[in-house]
Amino acid sequence: MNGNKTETLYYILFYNYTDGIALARHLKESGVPSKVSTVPRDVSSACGMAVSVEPGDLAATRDIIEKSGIEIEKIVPVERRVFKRKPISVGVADAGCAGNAESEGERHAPPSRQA
Amino acid sequence: MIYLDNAATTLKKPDIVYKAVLDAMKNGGNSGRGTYGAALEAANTVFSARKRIAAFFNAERANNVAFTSGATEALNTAIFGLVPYGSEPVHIITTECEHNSVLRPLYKLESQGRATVSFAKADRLGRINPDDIESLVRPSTRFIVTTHASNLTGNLIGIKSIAGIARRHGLVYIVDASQTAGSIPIDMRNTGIDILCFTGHKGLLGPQGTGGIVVRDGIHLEPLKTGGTGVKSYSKSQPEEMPTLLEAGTLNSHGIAGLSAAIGYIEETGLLKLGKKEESLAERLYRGLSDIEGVEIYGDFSCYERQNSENPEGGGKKEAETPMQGRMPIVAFNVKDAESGEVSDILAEEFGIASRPGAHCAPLMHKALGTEKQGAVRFSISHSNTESDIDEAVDAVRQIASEF
Repeated sequence: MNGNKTETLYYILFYNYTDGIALARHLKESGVPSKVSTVPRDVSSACGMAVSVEPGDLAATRDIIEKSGIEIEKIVPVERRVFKRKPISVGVADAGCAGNAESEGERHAPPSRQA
Repeated sequence: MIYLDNAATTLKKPDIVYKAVLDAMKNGGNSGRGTYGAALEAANTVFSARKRIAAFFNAERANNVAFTSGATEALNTAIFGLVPYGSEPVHIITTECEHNSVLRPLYKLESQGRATVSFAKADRLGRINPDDIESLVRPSTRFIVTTHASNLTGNLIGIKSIAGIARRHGLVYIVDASQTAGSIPIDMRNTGIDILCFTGHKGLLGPQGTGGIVVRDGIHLEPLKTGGTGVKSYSKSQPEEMPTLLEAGTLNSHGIAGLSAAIGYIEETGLLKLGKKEESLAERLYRGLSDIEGVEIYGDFSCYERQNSENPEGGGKKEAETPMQGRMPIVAFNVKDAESGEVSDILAEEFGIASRPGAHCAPLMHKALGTEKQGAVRFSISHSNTESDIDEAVDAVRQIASEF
């Protein structure tokens, strides 16, 4: 049970995907942990992508934004629920599929966090 | 990754599609720009694709098909093409189920004073009543444009009824087949579709950057673009003949080669067979999600109940003559009051499941469903998905619902 544990993340919002991907790349290259996320709808209902960072990485992120000249819309703190999956027990066998499905190994590989 | 965002694009394409693109890139010149081998290779590829698409949608002939970069360009071509600059303002009828690729061109025409637009309302299940469309017809109505299926709910629209209305009132009928082309049979002539707009990279399993517009004989569109055509080079205006009228500039013959191969794959494998698998998986997903407390599903799923009640002895599944008799393999839902983006991010990060949250470029549909603020999580299925994909997705949503 994860309970209702929450964490605060800082979401960087953009006017387009191009700037968002550019910042995610800059942060990755600089070793600043970040995540490409969906824009929280209580912040904006306009869809699109955001980059989220933990509070301890915010100063470094601001620095990179300033030095790179990447245009951002705003930075907002958002409280999100912490969710960790439990093991899945699904007993239904794959009945096979048309086309060129991925191998089982690929399909069931553990998900990785995005950039 | 379990990929359940096939309404955005199908991720897995048949191997022959990759090969066709590569072969075209290696061997094809510029279609319609010469008579040497490589140019003819490309021209032949494009012609074969045109012919195949015309037959696939039962259009009159190959020249009815013009290639575009996708459904958006096709829809813009159709909508703006029927309302040339300087013409009298017209009235247009559409529905609340539309994607922004229909809505934004219409809003633009309105803002320019070139058109007024009336919307047939969707009910709380996202359904459109064709009679409502007929009630909106005015003397100045020029055309009706509707999607074939909502990209949010997966509900099919009654295009045959709407085509009948268009015919009775002398209107042009444009169908946006973005969600249906390649997944369910589309018969332009027997249905009465005047203009069909399609994308190549979804149900048709082709590359992104492909799509087209199929225009019935006798309908003239003012072209969106003008430019090089390889013919009539000294004319100041775009050639009037289809498909050249709508195809200025170099065609994406590499992508078109892939699209043609993809349609060949669908024909060979059997569209109905592929569609039935999608339908079966979608029903499994719907039933699994329906059992989870706190999950609200959007759309009209009564076709599943009808099929079961028609065949109560047969394991609950009627063998349909055509797949997707009532809907596309899409299930949109929310978990309690959780923001759709949060659920979708958890599905991706914790479970490796790709879904699409938010507004889906369908603002009026969300308003009609009452999900404007929350958005919705959309799972959309392809025949390349498996039952275990579906069961894992259901289990993941169950876990999320139990925690929220």
